[in-house]
Amino acid sequence: MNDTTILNQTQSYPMKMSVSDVDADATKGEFTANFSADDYYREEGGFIPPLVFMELLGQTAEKFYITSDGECKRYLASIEDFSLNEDIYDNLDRDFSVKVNLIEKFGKLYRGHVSLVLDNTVYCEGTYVHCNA
Amino acid sequence: MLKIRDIYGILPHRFPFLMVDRIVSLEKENKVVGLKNVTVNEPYFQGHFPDEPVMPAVMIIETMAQIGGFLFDMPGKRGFVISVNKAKFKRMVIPGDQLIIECSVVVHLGNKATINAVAKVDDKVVASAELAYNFVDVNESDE
Repeated sequence: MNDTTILNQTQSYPMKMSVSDVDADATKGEFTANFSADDYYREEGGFIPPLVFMELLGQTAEKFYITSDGECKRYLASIEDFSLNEDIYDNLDRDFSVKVNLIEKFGKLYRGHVSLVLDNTVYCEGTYVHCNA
Repeated sequence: MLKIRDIYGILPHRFPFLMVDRIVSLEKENKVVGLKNVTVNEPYFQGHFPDEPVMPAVMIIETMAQIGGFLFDMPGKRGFVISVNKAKFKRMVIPGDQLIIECSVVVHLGNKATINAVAKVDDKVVASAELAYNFVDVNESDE
């Protein structure tokens, strides 16, 4: 496989995150996300590994680009920063908002900031760069 | 070297999230090298992607986090990744690859630590990142 192989695939179970479209325009979008007690990735005791939140933000950004720009081939090129507020584990029975803000497009790259929000508190956020080829 | 039975005794992770097959070398508070053999039977491949299995980038990060955790002796505490910075994904990781991950300590102060991690396949860098941990009491983490 060479490095320029681009995926024309979408995630499905068990890597498909539960994200619903609410509102999106050319530069920003808002989605809803929730977690279920029987999600496959929950470890014994109900703990959700941080990587799941990281994947959720990345997939929401992809969903936003598809919503705003149409179907595309894309892959994750980098995560510039990602942080998680551990208080999220006290609120997993709630519906979260996932907000995507497009920072810039340069060439085939999309750079966006994504945050997981509940009651105006950001529980998780990151800056992601996706490639659309 | 730590083999899988040793790893069971150290990491709390189990299927489907135990991402370390072997610790090749370990110098506490300095550097650790671990490996993960990537096979097509990994459960995430059925959804990523159905006709083209590629290891999800976040699973590479998780593997880094688990291997990096061996660097620290924190009795009675469990480490959680609270931030990831400068993560770059340069090549795809596919079934049949052997992921070799080298982690080194950037800083460790009290219950906080930061590491640098580099993942290679066939001696070529596939990903790199900086990860930060917060160590909490095991009882607290189980609440």
